[in-house]
Amino acid sequence: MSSHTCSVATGRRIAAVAGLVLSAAYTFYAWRELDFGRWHRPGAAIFPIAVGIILAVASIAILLERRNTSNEVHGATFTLPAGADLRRLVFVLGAFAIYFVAMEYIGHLIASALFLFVAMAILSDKSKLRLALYAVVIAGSFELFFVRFLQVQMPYGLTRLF
Amino acid sequence: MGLAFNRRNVLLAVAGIAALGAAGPTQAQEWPNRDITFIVPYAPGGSTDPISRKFCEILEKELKVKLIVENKPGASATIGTGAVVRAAPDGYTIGLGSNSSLAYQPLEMKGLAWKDTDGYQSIVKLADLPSILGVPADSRFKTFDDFIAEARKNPGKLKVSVSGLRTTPDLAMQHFNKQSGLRVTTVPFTGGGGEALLAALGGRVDGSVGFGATMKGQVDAGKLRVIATFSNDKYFLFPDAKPTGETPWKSAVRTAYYVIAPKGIPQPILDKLFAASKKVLEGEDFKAFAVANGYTMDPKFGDDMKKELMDYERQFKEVNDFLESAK
Amino acid sequence: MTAFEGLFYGLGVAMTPANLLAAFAGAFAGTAIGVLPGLGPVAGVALILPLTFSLDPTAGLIMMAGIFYGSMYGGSTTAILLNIPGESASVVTAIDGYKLARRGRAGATLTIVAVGSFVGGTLAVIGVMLFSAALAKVAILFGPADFFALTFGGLMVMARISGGTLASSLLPMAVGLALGTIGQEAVTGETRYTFGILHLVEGVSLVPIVVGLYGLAELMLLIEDKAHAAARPQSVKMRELLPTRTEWKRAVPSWLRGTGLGFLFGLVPGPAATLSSFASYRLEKAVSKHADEIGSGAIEGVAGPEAANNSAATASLVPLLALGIPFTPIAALMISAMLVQGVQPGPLLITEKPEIFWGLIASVYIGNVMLLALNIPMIGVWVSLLRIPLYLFLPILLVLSVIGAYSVRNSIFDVWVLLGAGLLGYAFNKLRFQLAPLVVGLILGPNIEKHFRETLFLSQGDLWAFVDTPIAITVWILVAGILAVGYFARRRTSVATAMAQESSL
Repeated sequence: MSSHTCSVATGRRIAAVAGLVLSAAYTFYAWRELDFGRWHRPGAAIFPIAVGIILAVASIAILLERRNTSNEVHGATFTLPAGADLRRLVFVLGAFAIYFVAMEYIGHLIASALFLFVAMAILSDKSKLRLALYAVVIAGSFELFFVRFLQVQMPYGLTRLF
Repeated sequence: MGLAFNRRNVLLAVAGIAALGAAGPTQAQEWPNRDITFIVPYAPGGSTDPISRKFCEILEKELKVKLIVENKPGASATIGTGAVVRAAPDGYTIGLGSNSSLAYQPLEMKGLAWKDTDGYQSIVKLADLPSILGVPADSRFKTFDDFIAEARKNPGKLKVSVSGLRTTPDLAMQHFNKQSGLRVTTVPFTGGGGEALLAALGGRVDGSVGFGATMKGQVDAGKLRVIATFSNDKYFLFPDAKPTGETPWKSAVRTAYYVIAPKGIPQPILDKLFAASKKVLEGEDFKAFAVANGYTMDPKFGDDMKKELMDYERQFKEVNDFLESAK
Repeated sequence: MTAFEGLFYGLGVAMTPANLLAAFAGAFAGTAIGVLPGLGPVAGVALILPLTFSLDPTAGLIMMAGIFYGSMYGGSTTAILLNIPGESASVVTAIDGYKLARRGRAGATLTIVAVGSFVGGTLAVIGVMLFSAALAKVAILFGPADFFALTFGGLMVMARISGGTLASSLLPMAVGLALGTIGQEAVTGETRYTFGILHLVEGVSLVPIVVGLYGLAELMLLIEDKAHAAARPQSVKMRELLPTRTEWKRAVPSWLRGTGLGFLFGLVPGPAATLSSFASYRLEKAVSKHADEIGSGAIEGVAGPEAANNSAATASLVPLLALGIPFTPIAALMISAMLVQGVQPGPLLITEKPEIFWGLIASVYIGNVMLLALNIPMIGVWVSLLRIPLYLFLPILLVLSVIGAYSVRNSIFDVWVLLGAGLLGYAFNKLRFQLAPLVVGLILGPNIEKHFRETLFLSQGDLWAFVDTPIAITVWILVAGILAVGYFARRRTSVATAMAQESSL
C-alpha cells in the first residue's frame, strides 16, 4: 500500500491551464472552420464560441482561486496510487483496452471470457483454474442473456460460425 | 433444447468451414448456406427500420436462411452504408440504402467509401415515400394554388418547417423553389419531423413538409390539411393533395429506399438475390405493408435502379448549386 | 366515454392473460435493464421492438411502456449501492443515495425509492387519464423561444446542482457543453470537431459518458485503493431494509413535489425523465426543510428525483397518445411499433382504438403495482449483491459497462468514449470537481443551441423573438427569481458563518 500525495490546489491549476488551452483551440477551430451564418440563418459557429468563452471563464476562475480557500473547501491533498496499487490499476485498465480491440476480431464471447480471467487474476490470488471456470461461466451467461435473449448485437468475430 | 441447438450449430460450423475451404464456383451454388446480415444504417423507429424488417422477414422465407437485421445508425446513415460497401462481396452482407445516403451524402461528405453508383452493387428498389406539404386546418390556404399565389406575391415570406436542413423534405421544397422561381423559406426543426409538425400546428410556420406517416393522424383528426405532394402522380394517402408534377414546374424529389450490396458479388449469387427479392416485392404481404405505411411501390432491379440513383445524383447536385448561389 | 368508464374498459383489456403477461414482462425486463449499468431504457425498448411486431399491438405497446417506467424503478439501484447510475435519469440519485448507503441505510433508501417510484408513476397516470386531451395542447403552445428559455434558464439554475464552489461546477459544465457540440449538429447538418473521424460525426452519446464518468471512475478507485473498497456499503440485516418513521415522513413531501415536476416535464419535448430528476433535486435543495443536508446524504435528495423521473416517464404518454407526436426516442419507437401494426397514431387514437388508449393506461396502474411487488422483495437481494467479493464483482461490472456502451448504437467507438470518460471522471474526482454539471451540460447544450437557432430562423433574425411570448417571459422571470433567492441565501449563510467564526475567536 503506497501512494503519492499531491496538492489539490496545484492539481486544479494544472486542470485550469489545460482548460484554457483546450478552450483556445476549441474556439479557434469554431472561428476558422465553422459557418457564422447571418442573423436570420445563424450558423454552426455561434454556440461553440459561446461555449469556448464559458470554458475560458471557468478556467480563469480556478486559476484565481486562493490556495488557502481551496485547501479549506476542497481539502489540501489527494493521493495517486504508486507501486503495487498503481500496477494493479494500470494492468486492469490495459487489459480492459485490449479487450475492446480484441472483441472486434475474436468476438465478444471469447474476448470477455479472456478479460474476465485476466482481470480476476490481477485482483485475486485464488487458483487460476477456479478463476478460469468463473470467467467462462460468466461470459457464457452474459452471451446467453444479452446476445441470444435480448438480441444485443455484440461483435461476433470468430464465433459467428457457431 | 440447448443440446440440440448446439449440435446443429456445430454441424453448421463444420459446413461453414468446409464451404470456406471449397473453391469459388461451388460457393455460388451453395449460397446461401449461413445467416445473412442485413445492415440498416438507421436507428430502430422511424420509417426505415420497419420496411427493412418486413423485407427481411419475407426474404428469410424465400432464401431459407436467417436474416439478421443489424442497426448501425449515425452520420446521416453513412456509417451503416459504409459498413455494407466495405463488407466482403460474398452475398452474406447486404443492407438498406436511401437516395439521401447513396446519392446526396457523397456530395456533402468527403472520404466516404462510395462516391457514386459505381461504389456499390445496386440490388433492388423497395419503395418511394413522397414528401407532402401540410397546413393547419384553419389556414387561409385552402389549396396549393392559394399557397403558390401567396408565395408569388410575397417572395420569401412564407415559411414551412422541415425536419432539419438538407433532409429530403427540405431538398424537395428547395428543388421546387429552384424549378418554379418561387421563394418559400424552409425553417429546420429537429426531432424526427415531430417538432416540425408541432410548429405548423401551433401556427408558428405556414406549413410543414414531411411524410405521410407523421401527418396522417393529424389529418384524420381534422387538425391538418395536406395540400401538395412532391411527386408526379397523386398520392393515394391524400388524394386531394395536388402533385407538384401537375404544376407547370416538374419537380418531384421523393425519398426512396433501396437494397444494396458490396461491389463484386459473383453473378450467380446476384441472380439468386434478384430473383428472391423480386418474389418478395411481388408478394401480397409486402404490398399490403407498403400501402398501410404510405409507401408507393415502383420496383426496379440492378441497372434500372442504378439509373434512377444517377438521376438523383444529378438532381441533388442542381439543388446544391442553387442553394449555394442563393446564399 | 368518461375517464372512469374508460379506466374500467381499459382494465378489462389490460387484465387479459396476454396483456398481463406483456405488462409483467415489460416491467421485469425494464427493472433488469435499469439495474444493469449502461443498458438504458432506449436501448431496451429498441431491443424488444422487433419482438412486438409478432404481438397484438396493445400487448406490444404495454410491454414497451413497461420497459420505460420499469427501468426508472431499477435505475437507482446501482446508483445507491455502488455510486454507478443504472441510467442517466438516476445520476442525481447517486449523490445522496450512495452517501446514505455508506451510512448503512442502503435498504431503507431503496425502499423509499421503490415506493417513491410507485407514487410518482401512479399519480402521473391518474393525471394522464383525467387530463390527457386538455394537456395535449400544452405541447403545441411551446415554441422554440419558450424552449430556449426553459433549457438555457435551466442550465443557469442547475449550474450549482451538486454544491461546491461555482468554479468547481462551471468547468465540468463547460466540458459537457463542448462535448455536446461534437459531431453533426441538428439544425443545418454541419459537422464539427470530427477531425475526419467518421464515428465522431454521430456525436458523443450520453450512455458511455455517464457510465464512464461515474461507473468506470468509481471502479478505478476501488481497484487502486483497498481502503476505499473497504468503505463501500456493507450488506445489512433484513430489519434495516425498512425506513424509519422520520425517513417516511421526510420522503412524502419530496415525492409529491417530484411527481408534480416530473409530470410537467413529461408533457413537453426533451429528455424528460433525466431533466426532471435534475430539476427535482434542485427544487429539493431550494424548498425542502432539510435543504442543508442535501448533498451529504439526505432522503429528500433521493425521494424527489426518483418520483420525478417515474412521473415524467408516465406523463410522456400524453403527447404520444393524445397527439401522436413522439417527443422522446422511446415514444418514437412506440409510434414505429404502432405504424408497423397498422395503427394510426394521432388525436383520434382515443376514439378509434380505445382498446389501445385505455388498455395502455390501465396497464400502467397494474404495471406499477407489479413493480412495487417485484422491487420491494428484490431489495434484499440487491443489497446482498454487495457481498460478492470485489475480484469477481469488478470485472463483471466492467464487462457489463462495455455491453451497455456498445449496445446504444453498436459502435466500438462508444466503448472508447467510455474509457475516456472514465479517466476524466477519475481526474475530476481527485481534483474535487463536480460531475453532475457535466451531464447537465451534455444534455442541455445541444437543446439550447437548437432552440436558439430555431428561434432566429423562425423570426428571420429578430432578437425580440426570445422574449416575445408569455411563456418565455414567465420562464425568464422565474429563472431570475430563483437565481436571486439562491444568491441572497448564500450571502446570508456566508455572513452567518463568518460571524460565527468571529465570535468563536
